[in-house]
Amino acid sequence: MVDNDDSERFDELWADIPDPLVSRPAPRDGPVPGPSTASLTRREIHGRRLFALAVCVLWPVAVLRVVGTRQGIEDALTFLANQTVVWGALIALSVFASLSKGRKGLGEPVRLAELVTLAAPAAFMVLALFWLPADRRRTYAELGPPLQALGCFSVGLLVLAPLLAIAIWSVRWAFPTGAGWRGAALGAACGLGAALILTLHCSVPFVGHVALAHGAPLLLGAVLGGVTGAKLGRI
Amino acid sequence: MAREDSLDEAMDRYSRGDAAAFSVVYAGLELKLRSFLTRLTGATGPAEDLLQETFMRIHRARGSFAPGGAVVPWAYAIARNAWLDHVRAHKARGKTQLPAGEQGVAHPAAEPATGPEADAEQAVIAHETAILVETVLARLPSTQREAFVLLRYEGMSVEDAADVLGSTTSAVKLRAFRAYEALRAALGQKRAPQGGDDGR
Repeated sequence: MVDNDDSERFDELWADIPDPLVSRPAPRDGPVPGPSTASLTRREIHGRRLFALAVCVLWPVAVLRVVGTRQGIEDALTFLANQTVVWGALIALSVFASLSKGRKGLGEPVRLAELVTLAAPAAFMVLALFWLPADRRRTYAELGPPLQALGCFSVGLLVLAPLLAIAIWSVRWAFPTGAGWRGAALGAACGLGAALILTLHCSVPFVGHVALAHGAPLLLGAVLGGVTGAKLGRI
Repeated sequence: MAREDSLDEAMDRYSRGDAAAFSVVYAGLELKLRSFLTRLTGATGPAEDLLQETFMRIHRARGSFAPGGAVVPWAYAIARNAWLDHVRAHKARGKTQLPAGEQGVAHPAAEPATGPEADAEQAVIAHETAILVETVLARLPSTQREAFVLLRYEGMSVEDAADVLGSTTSAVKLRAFRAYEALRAALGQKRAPQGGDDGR
């Protein structure tokens, strides 16, 4: 919390520094006509976001149905359930950091979005290196077959691209502050969605494969989310 | 406070589609934003353009105004974005700012002197001081300038200014204090030859 005396201390400190702007122009008289261009109302924005949310839930499920779940999924149910909970919690935190209205409607502190954006890929890498199904041995030295890595990366992109596009579309002109970082947090959430689908789809045991082929869409989501968020999300 | 509450309520109605509420929002924000932008740009012409741009952005983004949010800091943040875009566009075109005092900002002594001679001398000193403050503000990094303007001239709390600037309270305090030191040093130099004041 900020010390309430801070503002008073500053007031005392710079009381004798004059204001260069003393005489102000008079306010405009009479009613001001509103802008003639159309803009979305809150209800329309809510509708757009609900639609985006539905797509963001249904699209990864649809992709998973097409590409199929991993081999031997029955043997790794606990592992997969735990991973789903962890990635789901990180997704929720990323979305919160990006979209929550905060104290006065300006969003949560930008520092939270920065932290989440950086923590999501870091957490993924750490977990990919050290958290595997109980019956698997960690194989650090190999990346596995390049085609498998390329396949997983492609599936990741297939999940990520529409999610990111629709997520950024739903936050068009929504960020008065920290648009880049809030967009990056949202992009990281999309990337985590892709990583989660890859976890449910792929049973390749090589840690390098998981870190690179499954982690790349997450990293890409955060970077692209940051760039497009700053361009399109900023008011 | 009640006035700001009614302004928040008007913005809430506007964000729900009540076009008539725009007049109330405009009336409540116009002077604040015009002053803020004039202090940031150091010129009334660009400030007027940026004011229109700010209201266009407010209109475009009205649906994203959060229920229960405060419209004043929200509008300040949008005005700041418009100003930053203006600064970047000027940098990209290689233009520099006009020196202070030649840009049409209303200074105290810009008004015709009407009092006795002593008052006129005071007015000249005040005018010179105002130009000096404006010149130093124009030379400051934008991060320091905006922090100082919000705290000193717009009367915001440190916490609200941090929200508007998307920064931390400690960073805002530091930037404002650095701006203060630069202004204090410049005013000290100006006063030193007149009365040997060390500026504190």
